Amino acid sequence: MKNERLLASIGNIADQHILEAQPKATRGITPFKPAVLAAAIAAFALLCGFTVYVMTGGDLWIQKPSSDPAETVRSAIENQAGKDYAIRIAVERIEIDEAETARVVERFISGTIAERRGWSEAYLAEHFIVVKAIYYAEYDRAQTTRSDGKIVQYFYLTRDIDSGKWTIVDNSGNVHGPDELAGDSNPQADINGDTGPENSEVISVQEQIISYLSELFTQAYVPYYDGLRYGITGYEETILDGECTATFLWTMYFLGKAWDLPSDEGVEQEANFFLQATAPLINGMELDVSTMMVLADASAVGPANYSTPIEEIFPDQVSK
Amino acid sequence: MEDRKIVDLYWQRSESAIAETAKKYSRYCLSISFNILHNQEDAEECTNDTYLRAWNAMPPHRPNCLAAFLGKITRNLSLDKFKSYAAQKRGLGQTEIALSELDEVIPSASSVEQAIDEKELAETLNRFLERLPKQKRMMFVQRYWYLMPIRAIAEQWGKRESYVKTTLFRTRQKLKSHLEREGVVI
Repeated sequence: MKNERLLASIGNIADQHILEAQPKATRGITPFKPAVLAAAIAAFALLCGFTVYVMTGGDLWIQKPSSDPAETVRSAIENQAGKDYAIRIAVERIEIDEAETARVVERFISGTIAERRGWSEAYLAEHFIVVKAIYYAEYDRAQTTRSDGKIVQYFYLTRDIDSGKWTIVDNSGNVHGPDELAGDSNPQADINGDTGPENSEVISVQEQIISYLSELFTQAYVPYYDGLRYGITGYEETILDGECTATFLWTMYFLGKAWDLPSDEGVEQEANFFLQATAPLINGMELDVSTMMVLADASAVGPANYSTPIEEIFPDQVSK
Repeated sequence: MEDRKIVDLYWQRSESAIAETAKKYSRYCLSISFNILHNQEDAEECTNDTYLRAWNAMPPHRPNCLAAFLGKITRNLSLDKFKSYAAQKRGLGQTEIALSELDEVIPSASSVEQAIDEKELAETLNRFLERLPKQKRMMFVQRYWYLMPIRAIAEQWGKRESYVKTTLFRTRQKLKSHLEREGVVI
């Protein structure tokens, strides 16, 4: 063969070029796991600056999964009405947001998450959707600091393979900017002609800590584990001289890997951290996360001894 | 199982090394072989031979990248089989076409200064590939390392076949110029 040497030499090109060009069909496609996608969505949303709360110990949506994703979201919003702090909930509009879905999918497709898992655009389209909801909420401010007034939220849903039903796995915070709904009807204005002073989102200190820690833990552990989500329990908060100190049990849920224990592969595990977070408060409301210090309880028994910086217990890669 | 652990199994002479390799890489190896031979039975045979070669190579070899290591073995075994078939009969289709495309890359004798061995030539190719835009580089490797059909490459990239053909043609021309600049004899 005239080109035999050239062909042989092409066969010896660097491994990186061979791996990079690996045909998609030969890559192992990771079976669809909603929890895995949920973690990916959470990471994505954090990158976008959304306020994301993926928590089991907090105030979850009470939803009724449906084959219609918009109906799933409607059930979740309407079920807010049953909560103690809710005074009134009125859904204005719920719609599948194809542009936002495409945008998020594109982020996956162009990112390492989808590439690593072999998730094609078509594959994601069958399992993931973004629904935009516009609704009016009125809450008892003595009981909750949740944002109320006119709310615009994106809900991220995944579809269960067996049942075909859509479930909310995550949601953005209120993305209602001051000009976003110019021209839209406003349910609150319909009621009293005033949108009220509480249209901007108020995020509690606890929620700010959750958001900060979710991002921190996701960055630390996403190279190692899938299906990351978090819970917070036993939350206690004290504010003294403009500085907030909170102690709580932080639980990280993740899908086990065989390198830890073969039988744990793909099975959800949890890791618990007794933590103390301290940060100054700006204007009495906003935590200065740039100076936040998070310490882990170093005592095996007896009273808590918050003395180990959280970064010290993260895997090595984080500190590099 | 992690590649490192699979390699450890080979070094421990554990027979489960082959089972774990097959579990993780059989589809990958089969695909490489099938692209060259276009025959399922032959591809399976080459894939099985790949495991045997890997068994004989480890130890002493400890590959940094198991996928590429296995892929190279499969590709070489499949090309050897292809050549023996080509000697007996013609018409192995896509592979022959892909290989004939490479003929035009070979610099003319008058333009060269020295002959180099395969290893040096591979280094030259690596330098060329590193300078290519990612898409062109991947298309080139998919065509001439994986010997994928044009249609399959076009499907993967969501492009027309004509686009892939044109891209590959221009890349081959660039490669020819590159080899001539480096004074390579093939």
